[in-house]
Amino acid sequence: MACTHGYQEKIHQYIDQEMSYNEELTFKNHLMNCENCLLHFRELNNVEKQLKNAPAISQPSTFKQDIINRLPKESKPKKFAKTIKEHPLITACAVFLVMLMTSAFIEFQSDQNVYVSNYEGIQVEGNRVIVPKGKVIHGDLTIENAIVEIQGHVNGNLTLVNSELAQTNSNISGEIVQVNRFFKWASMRLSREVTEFFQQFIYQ
Amino acid sequence: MENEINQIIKQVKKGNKDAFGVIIDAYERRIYQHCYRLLGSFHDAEEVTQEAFVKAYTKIHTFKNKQKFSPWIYRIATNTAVDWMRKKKPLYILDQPIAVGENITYLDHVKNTSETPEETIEQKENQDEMQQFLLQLPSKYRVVLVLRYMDELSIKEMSEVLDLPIGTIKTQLHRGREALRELMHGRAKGGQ
Repeated sequence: MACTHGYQEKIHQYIDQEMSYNEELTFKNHLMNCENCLLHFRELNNVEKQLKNAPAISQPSTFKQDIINRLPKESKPKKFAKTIKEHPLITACAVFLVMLMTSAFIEFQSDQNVYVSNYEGIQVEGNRVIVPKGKVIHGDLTIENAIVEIQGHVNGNLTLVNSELAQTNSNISGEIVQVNRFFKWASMRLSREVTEFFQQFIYQ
Repeated sequence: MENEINQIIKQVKKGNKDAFGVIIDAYERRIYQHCYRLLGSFHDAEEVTQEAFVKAYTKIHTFKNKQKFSPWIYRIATNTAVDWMRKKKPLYILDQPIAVGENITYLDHVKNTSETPEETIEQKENQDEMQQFLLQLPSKYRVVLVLRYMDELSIKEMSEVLDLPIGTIKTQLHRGREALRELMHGRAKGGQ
């Protein structure tokens, strides 16, 4: 009959030297009084000893050269794939940047609507933006995708994005800035979006 | 040692095959012994050792530099050996005992009829009694026992090799020893 006191697991704990001193005393005490556990212990101890005494296997010869001969040669596309795998952060940044640029570029091309930053007192006829005679515009003015006629007066800077100035009577007290390039458009656009975003909060 | 190895692996990742030669020198003996203990055949152990190193080379980019190399290579070798056992099953059965409790295998019967050089190898293999017992165990027990006693890995290292929690490793080690005890002492597990 096997011992029912759950000492089988304890035998393994003892062999693995995972017992506290007190546990060990109780365990040994039990062994002295339980024939089954003692036999079990002796057998496991023997297994343990034989496992530890198993002879080391000597290798017949070295196969270093055989292994090196079997190594695959690296191809160039694989090397590229390897660089990508090794630097996931840089890859992610590059992909993100490319996507950002593409989407911005697409928007740049589709954004061909006339835009005027301040419509007060300004006439818009098709793609023509006119500041009528006698009108005075206070503050800076930004106009996009339009042909601009200034007959009145602008009291500030005039920024023209993808726009032409058809008529100048030098009625502008500030500077005239022409923006046609993509990057400048992008920064202009960004600052506009940001101000509009904050304006929303102010109005709410 | 581990630090040096990790430096060498950086070289291997750049495609330096000579650097990989240094890795082979450092681990070949241990991996060969590990494979032999799992497979019980010198031929198979040689083949699997080579295959494991080739795999390690092709997968070297999956090795992270903060990792320890030795559990990583043991893991590859173990997986390769277990795959090998599955593929080789028909031949491998020859090494298994004919009936439970007997240590006579089919190969022992064949051996009596003729003497070839190959058989001297087989005999050499049979001299190691423990090896015969190990081969009769289910592979999951064989793997833990070999890692613990032949490769002399710590329980923590074993849990890295097998990707199992420490508790599971301990349980499998206990069961493996019990299975081995039953084989060696020819007695059914009592009372459970």
